[in-house]
Amino acid sequence: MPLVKLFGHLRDYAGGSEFEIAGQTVGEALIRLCADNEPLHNAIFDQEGLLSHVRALLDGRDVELAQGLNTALDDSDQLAVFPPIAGG
Amino acid sequence: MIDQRLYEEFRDIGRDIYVGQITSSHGGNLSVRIGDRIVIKRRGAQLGRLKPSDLIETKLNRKDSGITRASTELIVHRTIYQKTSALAVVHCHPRTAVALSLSRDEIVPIDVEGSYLLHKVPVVAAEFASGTQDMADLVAEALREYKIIMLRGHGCFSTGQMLEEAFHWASCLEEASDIILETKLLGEKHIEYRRHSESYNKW
Amino acid sequence: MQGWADKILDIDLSSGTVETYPLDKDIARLFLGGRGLGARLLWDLVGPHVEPLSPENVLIFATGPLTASGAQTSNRFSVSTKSPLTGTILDANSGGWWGMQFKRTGHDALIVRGKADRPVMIEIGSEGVIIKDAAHLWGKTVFVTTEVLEQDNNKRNVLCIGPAGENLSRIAAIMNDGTRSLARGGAGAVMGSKNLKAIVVVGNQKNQPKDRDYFRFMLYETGKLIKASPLTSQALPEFGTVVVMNIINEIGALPTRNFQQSQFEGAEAISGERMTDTILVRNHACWACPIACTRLTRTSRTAGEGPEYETTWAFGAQCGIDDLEIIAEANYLCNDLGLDTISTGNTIGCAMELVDKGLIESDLRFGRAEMLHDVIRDIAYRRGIGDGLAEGSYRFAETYGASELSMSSKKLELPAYDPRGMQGQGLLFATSNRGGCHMRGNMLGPEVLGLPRLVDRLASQGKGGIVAVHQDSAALVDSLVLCKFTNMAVAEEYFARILTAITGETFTADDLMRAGERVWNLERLYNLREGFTRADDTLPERLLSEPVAEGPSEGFTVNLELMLEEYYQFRGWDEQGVPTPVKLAQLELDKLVEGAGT
Repeated sequence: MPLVKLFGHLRDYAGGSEFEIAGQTVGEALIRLCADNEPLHNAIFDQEGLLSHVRALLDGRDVELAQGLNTALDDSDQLAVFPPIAGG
Repeated sequence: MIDQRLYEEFRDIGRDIYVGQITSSHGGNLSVRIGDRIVIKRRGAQLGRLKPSDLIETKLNRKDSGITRASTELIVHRTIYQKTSALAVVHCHPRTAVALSLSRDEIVPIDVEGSYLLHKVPVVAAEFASGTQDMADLVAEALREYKIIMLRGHGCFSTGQMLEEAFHWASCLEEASDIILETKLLGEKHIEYRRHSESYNKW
Repeated sequence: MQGWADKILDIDLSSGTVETYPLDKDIARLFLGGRGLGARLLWDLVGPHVEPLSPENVLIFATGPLTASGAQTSNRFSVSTKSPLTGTILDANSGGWWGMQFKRTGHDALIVRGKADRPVMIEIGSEGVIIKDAAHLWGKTVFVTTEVLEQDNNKRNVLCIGPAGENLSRIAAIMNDGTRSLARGGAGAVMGSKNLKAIVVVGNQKNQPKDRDYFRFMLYETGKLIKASPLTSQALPEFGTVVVMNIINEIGALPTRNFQQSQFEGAEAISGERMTDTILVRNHACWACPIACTRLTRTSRTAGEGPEYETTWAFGAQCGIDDLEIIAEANYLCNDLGLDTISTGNTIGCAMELVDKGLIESDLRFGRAEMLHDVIRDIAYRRGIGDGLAEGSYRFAETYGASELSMSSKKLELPAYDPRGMQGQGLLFATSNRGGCHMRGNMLGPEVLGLPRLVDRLASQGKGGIVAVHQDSAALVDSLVLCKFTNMAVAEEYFARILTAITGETFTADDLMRAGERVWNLERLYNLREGFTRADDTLPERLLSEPVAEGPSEGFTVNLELMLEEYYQFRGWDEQGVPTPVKLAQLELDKLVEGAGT
């Protein structure tokens, strides 16, 4: 099953940092992850899709450069989701 | 060679501009600056249905064969890139903003988003409001200070680091203009709710 | 004061003379202050014949028209000099309180020339300027010095060097307010070479805006933006800068063991999340800053400030160390000794690879966390291997015939991003005027965080323009002087109007961007005059020809030549990277170079 890794305060909302979640696409897996967890859902999504500044990386590559939430997910894939962060 | 991703950006934003009714079928134009080249919509192309062949590449500082097929407003875009740090330019004809520009020297939004993002949009005027160097200089000079300006009776020019940003300003302007128009139609007394509202027109 | 104080303080330590003269109005308009003003003054004062550690080099501490005005983050200042590490023009930038207090003494800038014949300190206050004996302070660390000189935030502030600067380490920092640093490029050594231990400032003049109402309105507007941005209102205050450790590792751009790998198995152990869960006490802010990104931390043994992302990487992944407490304590130590954490950690990692490859006989190997603090002390006091390390990674590696193992550009140690996984960052490192540096327009935003919008970090085409615009923007912010984190939420058009409100002179957004571009080009001209060429706009051979072995950036090297060409074109420079006469005229720099024969 695909592995979803959460970072930043998303871990607090989810109660953990790594989850095995089934899904054919990135969107599907994330929606399933957020089922019954409204705070987590609101920290990741807005009405149009991923909340702005939230980054989802599939095996290290930003899904925005692929098909966004429709990007296909394999069993061996690792999906990493980051909340808005800044650095330097 | 125009990158597929760049073409998709032009196509999607062109479509949003047309469908959002802030320009007519063949009006307006979009451009971006890449290095020392400009990529701009072809003259006579439909903004809402751009094909890859509708994008022309031409040099920023020298005339080359690209200019024969580029938009008539190329001269304005080129001057903007030469005189400001813009990396993208959107030009369209938002109808309410155009109507407002006919009777005032600046459009000052009264709604939250408009005043937050734009504060004030100046209106400049040129005798020949299309395709001359004089008008280009006028527009470019104004864009050094503001990210979106109105050319009286014609339309808006906005700049950004990418097309999406420049489009954002244009879309926001039209929304703010519609709201101004609708309050005038309502004809009711205005209740001021914003702090420092008297300062917006000094932007 | 309304914006500028219109006064430059000029101190010659050789003769003991103290002078003040007005700030030229044209220079103020064109270069603003801070980094820009420093560059402009340095152009006149320090030419190619000057050795960085000789009395002929100068230190220029500069504030900007916004400093001490009360605008958000208007506490920062810079120091400009010729770098003893790189030989290029150098400016370093710091926050805290000293810059604001210095401005309150009624000066825009302080030029320090010459060399005192014994250790001295300078006091600038209402009695004027006094040069005092500092023998009792020489040899004391930064924290002790700061305490002895009675630092009192908001009223009396201390800037000083530690043992590293006194011992002329080329990677020594100048520290202010105890824990803030003018870190990169070895300015601490220049100060040490002048026998100058500390500068204490006490001021009482105010920087008051000409148009008070408009200024208040502008602060209200920028305050709204800072609060509305999740980066400045949540991410930075809650997690600080270390929070990017995990995402940089996830994309495969975390340089590990001297850039031999691009992912670190211990990344999670030194991540922002781990810091918040373990050593973080709370956050803290500089003067007039609503963002508050500083970390106050405590380990099982001691407490202090930081570490930031770059530091955590430098003593962490770069050295193969995953002990966050040891890393935090290394940061406290560098602050106390007055060392640049990036150069220090990077150089130690370089040494570790040389040991691995059998070029040096030593126990200093990757992962040897228990040796870290002693090595850092040895660098500050130039003991044993520390004496060589104090020269920086390039000169150090060169003595073993392995300069290609120094991960630096123009001899400035590279920071915490593997450019093979972030192509634009590679271009930035290679073209930065003070050497390999991320603070000159960090591509972290566009290439990783999607700010303002995501670009493909592995693409090399189209990066030239973005990097140039970011460099100009950073130069502008460094000249106003504000904190670059404000720029994450607030656009240049706001800065222009704040400047207009304070000074009463009209500045447009474009005037400011042009000023940033002007500063960048002047720095370029300075380096060209020093003899730097296109050949120096480069990166370590490893990053140009050894593809990343595994991870999400596998197979990539930095496609520098292509990006460089596009970059020069965008900037209006010729193929050798020299600004053309047309570009110089446009930036009003042509008269400056007329006499110089460049």
